[in-house]
Amino acid sequence: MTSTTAGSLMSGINRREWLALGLAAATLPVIPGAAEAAVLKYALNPVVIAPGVWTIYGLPEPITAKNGGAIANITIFDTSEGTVLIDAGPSHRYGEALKAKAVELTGKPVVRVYLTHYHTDHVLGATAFDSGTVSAGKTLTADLKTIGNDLTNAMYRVAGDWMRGTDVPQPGREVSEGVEAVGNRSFRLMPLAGHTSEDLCLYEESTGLLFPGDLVFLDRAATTPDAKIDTWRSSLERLKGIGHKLLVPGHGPVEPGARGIEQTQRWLDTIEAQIGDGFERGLDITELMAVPLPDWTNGIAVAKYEYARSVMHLMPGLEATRLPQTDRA
Amino acid sequence: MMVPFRKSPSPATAVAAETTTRDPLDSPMWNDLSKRYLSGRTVVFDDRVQVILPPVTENQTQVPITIDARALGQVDEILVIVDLHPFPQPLRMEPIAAQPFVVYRQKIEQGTPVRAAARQGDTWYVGGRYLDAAGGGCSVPPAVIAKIDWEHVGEIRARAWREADGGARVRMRLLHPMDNGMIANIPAFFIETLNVTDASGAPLAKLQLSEAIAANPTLTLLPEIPKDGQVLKVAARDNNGGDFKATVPIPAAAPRMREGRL
Repeated sequence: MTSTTAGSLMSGINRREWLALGLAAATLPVIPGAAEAAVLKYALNPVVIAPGVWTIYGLPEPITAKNGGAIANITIFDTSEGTVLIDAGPSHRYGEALKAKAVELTGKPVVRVYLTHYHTDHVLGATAFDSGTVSAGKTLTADLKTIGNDLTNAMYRVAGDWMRGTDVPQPGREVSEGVEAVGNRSFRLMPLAGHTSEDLCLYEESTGLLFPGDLVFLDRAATTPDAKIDTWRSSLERLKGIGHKLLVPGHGPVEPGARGIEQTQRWLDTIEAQIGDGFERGLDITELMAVPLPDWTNGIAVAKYEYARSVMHLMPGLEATRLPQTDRA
Repeated sequence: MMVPFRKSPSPATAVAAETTTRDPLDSPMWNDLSKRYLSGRTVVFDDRVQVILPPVTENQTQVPITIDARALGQVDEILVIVDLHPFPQPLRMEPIAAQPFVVYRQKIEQGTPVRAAARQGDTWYVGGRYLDAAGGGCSVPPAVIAKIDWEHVGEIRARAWREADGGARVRMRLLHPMDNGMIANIPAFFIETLNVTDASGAPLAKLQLSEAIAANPTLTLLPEIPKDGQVLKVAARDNNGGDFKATVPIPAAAPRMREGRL
């Protein structure tokens, strides 16, 4: 730009606007995300939870453009017939990294990928695997057909370039209630529901590991966008009776005992009671979101955020059924 | 006429305020929209007019929005203006004998400033916030077309509470599809007016709704308790001439009525 041009531009606008334009111009070459584009790589750190079994922990965060959606726990099984995965992660890119990591750990190809439920952080990595190995319940597969595009669209928007190459998975293998052996491992499959319309739970008999999918959250607030709370509660009751050695929640630490099941129950009870109470006292959604949670939830990651979402999920149902019908006169 | 952004009065902000006449939300639409809806009167940006939004947009077809201008005292009129929206004026309210407060839900087409303008005499006081959202709440047919319960269209569920400040609170949900006419083969069909009155029909609050309001309009209002009775009446009319009415009894005062109030 010549000084003449700059001078004539300057004369037309005041100094403040010039500064604003200058700042805008200075930031133009920095396309958002471009700096990270070359280095978008999921850091997968598998932790041994039993002999020949590794879990990759998800971050206790919402899905963001920073974490690429890697917030759910993913588990890798070494079996005598190949590698088995429980859930596939949030994107095609994650799925590719997971496949490489799994093969590196076990030295065997991935022969089966079980998907627990249709939420993006668990299923979208499945496109990295041969569709014949991707196993899911009938309802999950049907749900992916109807709303899969909405799910990927939402993820592209929130997580950006992490999603490159991600499409809707089409599980090629249908599973139902029963026991499936893969080499020396034996998976008891239980299609339950409550967190979503179908939550496939798995119990691996040789290790005593229980995988309840997102029916169990531990030290991370449960999400309720597709929840049916009463069904969820009955599913948790059934999980309590299995007698597992270790519980691998969809989100949160792997532990022996039932703390995850109990904490998820308590969370559901707490938010349901608080939302019901606020509704009875006449509060609308934005008011109810501002009501503080009880102290016991202090140690739970993203509690306030998930509670606010749950208010939006659960209030409309109360209004549709519990506000009294009025007289027309 | 645009005058400087005014925060709650304190010397430091007063000095800063003199340096800007800019829309605090920096919206490309504001010049046009403020001319269209607020022209002929003074316009002041003022934090006493609050727009309260959820921390995340869960559902673009049902975004809960609270407008609270009670810090101004009584106002003549409230307009909600949503800059980037096919129906930029979703709701207008005259709080005749009601607090300048309304909670409602609306469809959102994309991320946008959401503002409320509260008028006292010849001055509009404007507050607002930016709502982040994905696209399509107005124009994309839902994956599952909502089943309309035609037999019960216009049915009103409602409940009133006696507030600790001596006023009333009424929450209502009207069964109505609120079709905005933007989805192929579904003509516009929506509630245009909704009035809350006392038993004799004297208005407490008058609202104009629009195509932008979410299906099954769900509202919270804070009317005064009528002198002549213990009921509130609601009367709504849609653009097909459908009239919908309800009588809502006001109960005795209950404990804990201050808790959780904004």
